[in-house]
Amino acid sequence: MDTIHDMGGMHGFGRVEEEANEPVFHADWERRVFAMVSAVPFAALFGDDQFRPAIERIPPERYLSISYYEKWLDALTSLLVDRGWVTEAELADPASVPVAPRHPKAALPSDVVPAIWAGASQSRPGVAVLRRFQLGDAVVTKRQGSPGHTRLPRYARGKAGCIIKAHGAFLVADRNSIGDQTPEMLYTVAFDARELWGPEARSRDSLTLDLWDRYLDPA
Amino acid sequence: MDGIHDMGGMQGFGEVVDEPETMGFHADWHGRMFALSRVVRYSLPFGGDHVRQAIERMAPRHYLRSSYYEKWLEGNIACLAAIGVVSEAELAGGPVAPLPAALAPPRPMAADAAAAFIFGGMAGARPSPPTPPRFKAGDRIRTIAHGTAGHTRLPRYARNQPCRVETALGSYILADANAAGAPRPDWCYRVAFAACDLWGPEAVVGDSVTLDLWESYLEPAA
Repeated sequence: MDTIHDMGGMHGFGRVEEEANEPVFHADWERRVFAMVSAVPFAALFGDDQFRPAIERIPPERYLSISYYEKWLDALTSLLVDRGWVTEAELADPASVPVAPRHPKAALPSDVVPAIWAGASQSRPGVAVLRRFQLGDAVVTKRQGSPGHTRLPRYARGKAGCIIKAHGAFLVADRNSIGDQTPEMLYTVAFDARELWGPEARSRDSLTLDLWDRYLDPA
Repeated sequence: MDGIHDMGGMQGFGEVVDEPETMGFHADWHGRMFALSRVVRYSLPFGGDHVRQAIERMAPRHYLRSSYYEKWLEGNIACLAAIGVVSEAELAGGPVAPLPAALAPPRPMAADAAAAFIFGGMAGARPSPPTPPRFKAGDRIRTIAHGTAGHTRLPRYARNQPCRVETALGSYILADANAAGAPRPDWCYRVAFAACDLWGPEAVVGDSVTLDLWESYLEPAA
């Protein structure tokens, strides 16, 4: 889905402001949203590959108007509404919602913290997958996106690059986002900056992306 | 400049709402804005390429919240400010300063000239570029891969794509160069793209998109 989130290579968004001594959270509610997004999947299972598309579906005007953790909250809310865990009526009138008994799978703080640090690996080291490319192979990325979630940004489509690492089998975000957990070989591909940005880029600069086999063709 | 305006091929902006053509303007000020923009373009030294460039430079969030004629207003104000006709202070309600001395006196638009200008556009000499056209109808060519930081009329979705020349249109002032303040003529072509090249295998086979593109955007097929 090539929505407003896919900003790589776009102009006009202004300078990236670097914040000195940036705090982890800018407000207490951000800490709460972080905790909710970490804890809710224990009961209402979702992962990054469902969470990211939910962020990408935020209407563009709203997407540009809200902060990082507001996007998290929007995405969490939409996932819970889609799955029937929360209704629009409850969101409109939270005071009307009776306090539910503790869900049997509800996470304890002692579960959540180690889970946050461990992360959810998308790696599937035991699974044999096709490896079409070797280190040093010249490849070209697919020219087109897809109607669903993808991790191949617009600026890197139809571009020539070089395989510099093969990571092994990983779940494919595009497919995992719709429930297909068939893993595929993941590579790191290096692109010359000039290939991506044109002759004004510096000749020695390069950019690397981790890309699945399905995004690549032999050059 | 690949700003927020370059939405071709992007998703998530919702349905295009069709309106009957008879709607005309949605508000009285839209009509005034339309008329003002015509008079200003007739009378002062900037044109559509400059207004477009100014609209493209609007902050993205503001751009998405602004209606069509609000964008026209923003673009025209930016162009008027750039040539010194209006200032921030005047826009904020301060006293109106005289026009800059360096600016040639504006050409007033008589009422009977308005219709001819609106429907006929601005007649202008279109000198030929110094070199002959590189392409002719039927040529299989491709578009260049990269945009520019300035104004361009080659949208992102049509870059680095194979295409075919349908018609050679003659010489036109290159919008990119004009917006940058150094107008020069360039050959222009009507060029067709297969929808499947632009949008992928889900597009309807046989559908095509045609764009009028300058030679600066085109190169021979590899």
